Amino acid sequence: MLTFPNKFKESLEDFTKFSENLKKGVENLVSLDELSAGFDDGRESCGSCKNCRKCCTEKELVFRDGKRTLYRYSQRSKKVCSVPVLMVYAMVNRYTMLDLQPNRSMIRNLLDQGQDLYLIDWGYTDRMDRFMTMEDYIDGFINDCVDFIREQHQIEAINLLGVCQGGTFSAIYAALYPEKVKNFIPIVTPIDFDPKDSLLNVWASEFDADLMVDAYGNVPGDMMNNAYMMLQPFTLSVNKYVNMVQIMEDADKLADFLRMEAWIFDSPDQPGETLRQFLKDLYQGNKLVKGEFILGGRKVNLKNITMPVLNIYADFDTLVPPASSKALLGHIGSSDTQELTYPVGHIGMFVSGKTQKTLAPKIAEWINARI
Amino acid sequence: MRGGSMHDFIKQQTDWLKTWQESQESLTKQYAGLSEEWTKNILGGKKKEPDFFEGWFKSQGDLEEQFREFGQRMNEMISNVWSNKIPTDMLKYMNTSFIEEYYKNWLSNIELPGGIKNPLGMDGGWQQTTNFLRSYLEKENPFFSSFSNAKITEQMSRLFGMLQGTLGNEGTAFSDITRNYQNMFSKLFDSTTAQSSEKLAEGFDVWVKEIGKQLSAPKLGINRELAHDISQALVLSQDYAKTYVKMTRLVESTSRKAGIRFQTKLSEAAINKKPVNKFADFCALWAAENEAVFLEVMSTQEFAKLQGDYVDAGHRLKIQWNKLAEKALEPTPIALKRDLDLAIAEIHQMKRDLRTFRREMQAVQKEVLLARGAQAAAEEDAEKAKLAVKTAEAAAQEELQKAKALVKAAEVAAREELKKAKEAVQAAELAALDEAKKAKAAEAAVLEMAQRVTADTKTVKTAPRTTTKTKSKNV
Repeated sequence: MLTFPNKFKESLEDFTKFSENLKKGVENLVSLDELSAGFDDGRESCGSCKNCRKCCTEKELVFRDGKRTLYRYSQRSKKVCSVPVLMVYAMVNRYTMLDLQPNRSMIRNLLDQGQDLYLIDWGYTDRMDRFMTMEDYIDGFINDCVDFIREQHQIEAINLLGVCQGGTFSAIYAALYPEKVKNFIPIVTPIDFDPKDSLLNVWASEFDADLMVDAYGNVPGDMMNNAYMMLQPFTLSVNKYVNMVQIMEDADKLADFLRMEAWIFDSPDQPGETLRQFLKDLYQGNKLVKGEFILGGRKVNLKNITMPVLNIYADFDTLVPPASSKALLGHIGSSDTQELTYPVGHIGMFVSGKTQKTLAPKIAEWINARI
Repeated sequence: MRGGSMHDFIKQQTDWLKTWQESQESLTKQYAGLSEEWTKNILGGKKKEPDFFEGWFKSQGDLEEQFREFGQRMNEMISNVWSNKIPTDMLKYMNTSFIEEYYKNWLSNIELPGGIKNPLGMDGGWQQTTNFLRSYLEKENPFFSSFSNAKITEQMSRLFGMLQGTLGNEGTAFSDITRNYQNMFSKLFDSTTAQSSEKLAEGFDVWVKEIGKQLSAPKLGINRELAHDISQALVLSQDYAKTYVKMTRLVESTSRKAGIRFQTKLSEAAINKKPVNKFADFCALWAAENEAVFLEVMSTQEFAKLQGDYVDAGHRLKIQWNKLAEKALEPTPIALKRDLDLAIAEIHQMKRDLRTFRREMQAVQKEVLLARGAQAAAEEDAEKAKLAVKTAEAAAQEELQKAKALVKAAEVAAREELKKAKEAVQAAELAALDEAKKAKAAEAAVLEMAQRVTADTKTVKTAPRTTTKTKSKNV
């Protein structure tokens, strides 16, 4: 049984340990900069991110339209799938989450499984993108990229993998151009925006999206980040940094933490007109599942998604509640569907130890069975 | 330039500008001094309760202060942006404090009942004006006299003071505005008596409602549109502050609730002999308990509505400030947001058109490729056909030649045959003639024989005559 002096001693020891960690951690911190938290392996940085830390996997720019680019990753396997995968990431953060570091890289894992990967980089939104619409991104750039890949490989249809908002964009694309999509893999993708178990859905229902876009033009990325931080206000703004002190003495762990920290706050501004439609038609109007969503004058019918679908979502996702992703299969026309879930959060899907070893092999296996 | 250089001209203009600015500053100071005096009266132990008009004029002074700060910020911004790009002298011409000046002039020149002008103290001081207005409204316009009571200013002073205690000092653009209110509150609030947040909000609501009416009143004169925009910015800033107060109240009450819950949990842990004596555990518990309480509140539709109101009010205010900022920048060579937006929209449309054309062109190119393929195939077929025709022609020619040769040969043969035939005929004719000759000769011989026979008959009557005649017919 702990007596008062014992408790005091324990607290004192804890405080001493905490202070030691902090001291060592600060030493580590000052010896690390943004770049050294990346990968100093002599490669040239592609310069596609602010304070580029270099992605861990080599890629080549193969197609460009303004600041929007299409990359193709270098092969890491001798046997490569004949139908390439186009990865469409969200616009609210950078795609580097998919390739954070060698031991946390969904991209590297998929390449190791023999997948031929292309990835869309939306770039950093600036004033010139003020009037870019969802139509410009989906019917424009995604469609251009798909056509580019089809032509390069002389194939009719590609595999489409969408992440989060990029998954929603991809679902819309697949519904509009089903003939160009061989297999569709949405990951943590919001489809049904009605579920009230997401704070974002509740909050989004009560503010004027028009005012926000009219006030800002492009909506600052930090504003979006503030909203995400409010989902776990104390965990993300206090507890996270207290816990950081405990790992700071380990330079490698600190570098891991900094890479994640850099990614979290590397948030491009949101193009005004795109966000306006995304908020009004999807978050507030929930038009996609109602069959009322219009893109470029065409109604988007999810029933047109008749290709095989592998729907992947996270059980503890606070950004995109599982119900929102799960709804997809109930609204599409495909008869070949499969669900894959993990007991992780939104970001954990790409970086947690639970998914690193199994997610990519399962995706690859599912694709290979349908080529 | 006659009588001096460009430098002299600029100096002359600069001097004039300096004089003008000094006079404006003097006016501002004069007004600020009056406000200060008034504030001292309130805070200086006299405990005189300000009435509505005093409050109203004071609020105008604070509004003016806001405009002045706005103008300064704009000047600083322009200076920062353009100082290394255009001559310094030129910068001096860019007076963006016109909004402040405009509003002051508007107030100074407003025609008031009874012929009183310049309520800001130019003609006889503001106190006289205030007294007159109070008297005018009480006597001549009882409807408005209801505003002229001590209650509003009392509530205002309490409200300002309480805000002083509850608002933080974040360095955001919006809290800058709020801070102006704080300053105003702090000057007006003459005690530190804490009141409930409820009272704070109520008081603020009343104040905003009343001051909003004043600010939203129709404007007159050539610059009425600008006056309206400026007033609107202030109304919207009050709306924003109102929602900010509500949000602050909610955060405050939720924090209190979370704090109590955290303390309870700490105590429970201690009672259960599992004291939280590690720093990380302490923080984790603090974060977890706070988060649980806050998320419970934040997941409600009521919170979403309040947050929506707060965010919307902020956005409305920002839009209005943007509008005023553009007005301030209009006389400068700086491109305005609306100009850029127009250009960007044009470029964007052109890019879209370009994409459409590119796609159409690609489709056409594909068609052209297909057509070219078809054309090449057709040309190849044509070539083959030509070759076939040529071959056929050659064959036909050869056949013709052969035929001709055959015809010729046939002709020759025919001629030969004809010749032969002719010769045969001729021979036959000759033969026939010969035969005829022979026949004639035979006939002649017969005749001769007959004549001989006749002669013989005559001579010898023994020969039968019938037989001879028959033979003669057969010949």
